[in-house]
Amino acid sequence: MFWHFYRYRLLANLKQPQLVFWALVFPLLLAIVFQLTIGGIQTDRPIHAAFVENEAFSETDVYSRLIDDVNAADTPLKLRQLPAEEARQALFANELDGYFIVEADSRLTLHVMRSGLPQSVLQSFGTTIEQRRAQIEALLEGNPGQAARLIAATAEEELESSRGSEKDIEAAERVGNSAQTVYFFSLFGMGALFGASFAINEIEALEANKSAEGRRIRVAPLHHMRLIGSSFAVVLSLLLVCQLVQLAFIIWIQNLVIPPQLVPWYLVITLAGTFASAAIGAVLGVFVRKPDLAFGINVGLSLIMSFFAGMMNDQVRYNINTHFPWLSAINPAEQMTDALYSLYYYEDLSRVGRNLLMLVAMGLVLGTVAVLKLRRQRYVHL
Amino acid sequence: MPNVIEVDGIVKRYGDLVALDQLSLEVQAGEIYGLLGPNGSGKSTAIYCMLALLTHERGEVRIFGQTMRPDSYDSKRRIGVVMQDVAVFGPLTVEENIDFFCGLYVRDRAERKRLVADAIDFAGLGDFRKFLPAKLSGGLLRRLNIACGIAHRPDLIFLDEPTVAVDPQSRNNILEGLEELNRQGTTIVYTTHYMEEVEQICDRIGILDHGQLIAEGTADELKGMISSGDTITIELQDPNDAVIQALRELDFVSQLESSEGRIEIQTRHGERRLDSVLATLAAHDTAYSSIYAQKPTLNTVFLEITGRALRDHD
Repeated sequence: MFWHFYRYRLLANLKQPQLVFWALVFPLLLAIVFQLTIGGIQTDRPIHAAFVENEAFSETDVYSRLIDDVNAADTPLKLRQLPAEEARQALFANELDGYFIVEADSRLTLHVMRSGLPQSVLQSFGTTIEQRRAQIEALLEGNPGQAARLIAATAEEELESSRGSEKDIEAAERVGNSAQTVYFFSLFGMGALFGASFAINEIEALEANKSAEGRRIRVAPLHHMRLIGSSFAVVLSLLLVCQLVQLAFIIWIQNLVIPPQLVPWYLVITLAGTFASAAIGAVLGVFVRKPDLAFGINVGLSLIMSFFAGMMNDQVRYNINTHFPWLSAINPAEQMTDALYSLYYYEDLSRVGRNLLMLVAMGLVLGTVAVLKLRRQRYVHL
Repeated sequence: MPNVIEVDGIVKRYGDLVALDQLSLEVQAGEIYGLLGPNGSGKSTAIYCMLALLTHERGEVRIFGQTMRPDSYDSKRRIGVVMQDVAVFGPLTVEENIDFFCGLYVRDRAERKRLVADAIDFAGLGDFRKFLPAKLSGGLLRRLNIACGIAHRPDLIFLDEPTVAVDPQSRNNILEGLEELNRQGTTIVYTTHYMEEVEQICDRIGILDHGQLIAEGTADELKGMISSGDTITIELQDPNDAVIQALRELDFVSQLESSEGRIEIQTRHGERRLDSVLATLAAHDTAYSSIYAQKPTLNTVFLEITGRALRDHD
């Protein structure tokens, strides 16, 4: 009975073009539009940093000359000088990977918002400047470009000696334009949320107070929990397939370079997002009386949550994370985006683990609420 | 005959509205039981309570001798339901829909294949098995709805207004099909507000109004319960006051209406009324172009019991 129900409900869902459109076609179309307008996920983006224009900075022209020298050379470093407040805002807006403040005793203090490869490079850069100041000043005087090359080479040595693993080199190859990448990752989250429509559709088919088909199913000699289990399996299958297609699209069409050892993590993130989305759809399906209204609410919520996760503007994501962290915590699109972002750029598995925990917790709580409501066997109204 | 259904004093409320008020009835094995009543009288609610789909405040339902509960799977396996609303999945074809619903009752694939083929033949859907429901006419859609409910060959079928919005030809096909199922031993509970249908196919009829069973019996028994007899209609060629007055004074005439030579006489219950009317016309040497008598209908029964016509609520 389980597989009979599963097979036909799977078929019925697949034959509803509007469901497949929202869960799969629409996110892919948006990804293509993003690709055409803002480019794909880049793999060799420069590292942006700034020097704050304070008194110690202005006392000497070493730093401004160094900025010109580095920018003129063929290195991934892109430097500029900014007033303190602008540097801070640029960092928060993800326009900078970090900025340096020249202290009164000539030490360089690096300010960053997160940890990762670009920040490590900047740290090495600062250390090199501090340790080889005399040599750099001499090079700046008579050998344009040499100072930049010295710093780049020293920074590379520094990196290799301090962390020195192949992992960093692989990660360096994968460093992309973070703002643009967030768009694609949040799009992935949006696809999962749109897929919650499958769950709403299943609830409509199951519930006697939502459809005549539900009434007919409910009078059949079927164990309710088995029925719910079969239906949930249908939703998970459909959502998972849609999400895997989107992941494949990001990997092969948009050139997301994933080391083989990290592939299982991407699959786990996909599975957890699918689980949470299915549970959200189930709750909407169960508690919103009219299925059409539930579909509408889901589309609206999906758009809002993926917008908050940075789908249109990375600054929005930053502001939500800064001012409303609780909203980020309960936003499955943000949790998926952050998990993918943390994995892609930093291989920060502890952070990915926290994201996964949130997604699974959301799925468990909402799924339990939905199942408790679905378990009822008689209705007061039909 | 043993009782297949025993409903004992069911009370169902929707807030302040009493939808079923101490409803009790029994349906015997092998009969077609008609539940007749205007829209909103509680017919569908009664069926959903019998199927343990709706909660009810008081009373008990026993089907096949067992108290009916949501988990009465043994009883449910022997029941088929045809809903008032068409209950099929739009994305599935005719054949897939029937197979899906049949498969909720029958596991064996080979047996199910045979049952689905039988149901398609029964409903006359052979030429439409690969059609989606949206491509079917209203009548065919209703037939598909019925096929989905009866494909697993249940011993008891509930049909809740299955012929609403169906053309006369399809309606006759449906009713003939149900009679055939009944001849094969299936017990049928049939709700409708079309009195002609229950008169045509039902062995016994319960009349439901405001959630109460106000009368029950065969069609003839129900008509025998009321004081109204035949309605006699006469088309006079040369109407005159004397013959109208003589007709009005006949002792079995309860009501007489006359308009432009057409006289309609409502008689009290009894036999051989037409003879007396003809004798009165002859005594007054009055010519007529037509005269005929009509038996009381179930609408007459409902009208006399409730003071309202069955179709008042349509």
